Amino acid sequence: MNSPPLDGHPALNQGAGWVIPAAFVLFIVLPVLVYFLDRPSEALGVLSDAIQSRDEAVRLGRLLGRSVWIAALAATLGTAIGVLFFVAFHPLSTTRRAVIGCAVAVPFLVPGQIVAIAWIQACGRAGWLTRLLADAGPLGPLAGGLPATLYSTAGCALIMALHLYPIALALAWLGWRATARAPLEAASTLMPAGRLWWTLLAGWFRPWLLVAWLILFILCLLDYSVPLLLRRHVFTVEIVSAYDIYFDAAQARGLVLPLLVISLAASALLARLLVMRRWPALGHGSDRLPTLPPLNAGVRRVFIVCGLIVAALALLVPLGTLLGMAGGWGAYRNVFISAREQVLTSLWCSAGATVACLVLAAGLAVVGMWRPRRVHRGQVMIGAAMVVLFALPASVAAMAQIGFWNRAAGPALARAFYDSGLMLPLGLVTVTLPVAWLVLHARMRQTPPVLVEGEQLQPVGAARRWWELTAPRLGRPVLAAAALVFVLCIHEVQASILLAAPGQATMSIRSMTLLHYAPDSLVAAFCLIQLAILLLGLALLWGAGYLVRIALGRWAPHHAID
Amino acid sequence: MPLIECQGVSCRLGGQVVLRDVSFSVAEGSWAWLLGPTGSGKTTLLRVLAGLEALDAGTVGIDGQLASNHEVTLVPHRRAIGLMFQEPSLWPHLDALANVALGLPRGVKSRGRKAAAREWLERLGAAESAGRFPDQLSGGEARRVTLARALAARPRILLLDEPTAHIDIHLREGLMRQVRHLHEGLALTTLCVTHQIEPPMQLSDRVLLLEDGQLRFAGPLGELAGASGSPYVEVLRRSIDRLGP
Repeated sequence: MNSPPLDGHPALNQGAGWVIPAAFVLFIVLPVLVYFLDRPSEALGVLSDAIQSRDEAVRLGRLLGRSVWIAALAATLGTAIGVLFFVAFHPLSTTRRAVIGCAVAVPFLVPGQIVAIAWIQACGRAGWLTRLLADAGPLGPLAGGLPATLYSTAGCALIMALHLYPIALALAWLGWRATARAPLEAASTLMPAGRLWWTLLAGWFRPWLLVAWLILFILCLLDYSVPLLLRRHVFTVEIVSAYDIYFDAAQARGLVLPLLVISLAASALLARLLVMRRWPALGHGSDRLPTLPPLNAGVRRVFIVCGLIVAALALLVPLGTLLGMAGGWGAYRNVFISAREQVLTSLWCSAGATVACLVLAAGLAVVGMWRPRRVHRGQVMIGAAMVVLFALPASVAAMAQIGFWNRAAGPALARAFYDSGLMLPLGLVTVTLPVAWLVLHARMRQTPPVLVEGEQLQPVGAARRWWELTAPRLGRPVLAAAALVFVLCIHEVQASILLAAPGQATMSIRSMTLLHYAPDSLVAAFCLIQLAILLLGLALLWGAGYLVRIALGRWAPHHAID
Repeated sequence: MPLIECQGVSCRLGGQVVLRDVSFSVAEGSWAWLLGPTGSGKTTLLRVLAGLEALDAGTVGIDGQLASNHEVTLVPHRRAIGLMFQEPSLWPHLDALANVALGLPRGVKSRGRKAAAREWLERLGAAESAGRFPDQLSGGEARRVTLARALAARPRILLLDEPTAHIDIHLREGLMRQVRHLHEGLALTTLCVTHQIEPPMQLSDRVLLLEDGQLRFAGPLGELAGASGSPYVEVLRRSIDRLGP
C-alpha cells in the first residue's frame, strides 16, 4: 500500500529527491565540517601561541578591531545612503522610480575592486582629481589630503559603502512592499505625516534596515579586495597571506576563528531577524505599493539634493574616471584580446556555478515546506548550515574545499575531482548558496499554509504538482536569485585566487593583477569590459526568463499565482 | 445641524466611476447605517469622508467647513474622524497597547500614554490583549483593539467599515451593542457600513442605501420597505420582516 509522504515534499521523498540534500552535504557541508574538525588542536594552538606572545596578541587584536570598525562604519554609511535614496526618490512615479532605481543600483553591479581601482585612479597620488587640485593654485595644499583620505580607514569604509548601498536601498524597498495599506491609512487619520514617519514608519522600517546593516556588515567584514587595494591590512588579508604567501595552512585556520566568531554572531542575528514571524518574509507584499505619507517639501528637497550628490559620487566619479582613463577603442580591443581566456573562464564558471547553486537552493528551499505549520527538523538544520556558510570568508570556503578534495591519502575519485577544473565553480557555489537559498526559501515560507495544504488535496502526482504549483511560485525568485548569484560569482576574488588552477584566471583576478603592471588605460578598459559583460549577462538572464515565462505560460497557466 | 454633508459627490477609481452624484447629510450625534451590495461603493464613500480618496466632483463638508472638493482635500488627521477598516489595520510590529497609544492625542504625556491606552482597552473589554501582537489576537480581539485605537483619538465622527466582518455570530451582536453604547456615551456621529440587516439594527435607525455608486434611499429603516426596489432591496425587505418591531 502506498502511504502518503509525511516528512518532506513529495519531490524529495520519491525518486531522486534525496540527491539534492545528499549533494549539499557531500559537496558543501562536509568540506567545511572537516576543515574545522580535522586536527582542531592545531588551529587552537595557533591562537594560544598568539595569546601567549603579548605583541602578537596585541597585533591580532588591533587587526580584528580595525576589520570590525571598517565593516561597521561601511555598513552604517551604506545603510544611511540607502535610506537617503529611498526617502528622496520613493514618491516618484513608477516609471521614474524604476529608471532611478536601476541607475542607483549600478554600483552594486560594479565589482568592489573595480570601484576601488576607479577611486584610486581618481584620488590616488597620481589620480586625475589629485592632479587637478594640485594644479589649481590656492587649492594645491589640499591635493595631498585626497590620497590620505582614500588610503585611510574611513576612506576604505566609504568606498565599500558606495559599492554596497544598493542592498540597503533594496531592503528599504522590500519593507515598503511589505507595508499593508490599511494600517497606514488608518494611522493617517490619527496623526500628521511628519509624526507618522517618526513615530510609526521609523519603527516599521527598523528591522529591515537592521537586516540591511547586518548584511553590509558581514559582506564588508569578509571583504578582501577593497581593503587590499586601499592598503588597509584587515583580517581577511592576513588569512589569505598566511595561506597563499607563507603557505601556512594551520596558521590560516587558527586566524579564521576570531573572525568567524564575529561574523557568525552577526549572521545568526541576521537569521533571527529574518525568521521572526512578526516581520513579513523578504519579497512579501502586494504589487500596488501603498502611498507613504508625504514629507515636508523642504525636508524632501534636502534629501533629493543630498541624494543627487551621493549619486554623482557613487556613479559618475568611478564610471567617468574609468571612461576617461580608458581612452580610445584601441585599449578596449587590446585588453579584450589579451584577456579573452579569463573572460571565458569567468563566464562559464559563473554560469555553471549559478545553475548548480539554483538547483541546490531550490531543492533545499522546499524541504519541509510540505507541512507548513510545523517546524521541520531538516529545514532547521539547513538554516543553521546556511548561517555558518554566510559567515564564512570566501577564502575559508576555498581552503575547506581544497583541504577536503586534495588529500594525498584520499580516494582517487577525490583527486580526480580536484584536478577536474570544477573546484572554482564549486567554491563559488559554496560562497553564494546561502544567498540563493534565502531568496527561494523566503518565497516558499511566505506561501500561505492553506495553499500548500490545498495542493495536497489535488488528485495529481508529485511531478505534476511540482510543475504546476510549486515551480510557478518559484519563478520570479529563481530569476532574482540567479541574477544575484551571477553577479556575486563574477565579483568573487578571494575564493577565485585560491581555487583557480595553475594558468587559470577569472576576470576579477585579472583586474587585480593588471593593476600591478599594466598602464592605467588598460586597467580602466578592462574594468569597463568586465562591467559590460556583467550587464550583458544580466540582460540575457532577464531575456531568457521573459521567454521562458512566455513559453511556459502556454502549458503552465498557474504562473499567475506568482 | 448636520455634521457630515455630502453634495453631488462623484469619485472615479482606476477609470471606473465608483460614486456618482451622492448627496446626503448626517446630523451631529446621530447613528446612520450605510447599506449596499458588494461593490456598490460603500467603502469608497467612507474613504472619501475620511479624506483618503480625492473627489472628481461635488463637496464634502464636515462641521460646516469644506473638507473636500475636486481641487482640495483636507488631510485625514484634521477631520476629527475615527476610521475602522474592514481588513486588519493594526501595525504588526507593535503590540495592542502600542497600537492604541498611537491614536492618543499629542497632548498626552509619554508617561501617561500607556495608562490611557490601557484604559481604552479596558473600556472595550480587551485589557488582556494589551501585551499581545496582532498575529496573536483573535478576530474579535483585533476588532476591539482597532476600535480602541480609533476612539483613543477622541474623534467626533466614527466611520465603521463592516465592523463585524469575519467575527463569530455570537460576538457580533455584543460588539455592535458595545459600539452603540460608546456612540451614545461619547456623543459621536457614527456612520456604519454593512451589507445585511441584523440586530442591533432598529426600524427607527437612519439608513443610506447605495447601489451601483448611487444613493437609492435615505431615511429610517422602517420606511425602506416602501422603497421601490431591486432584487437587493427585496432581500433587505425580508430581513426587515425578520428583524421585527
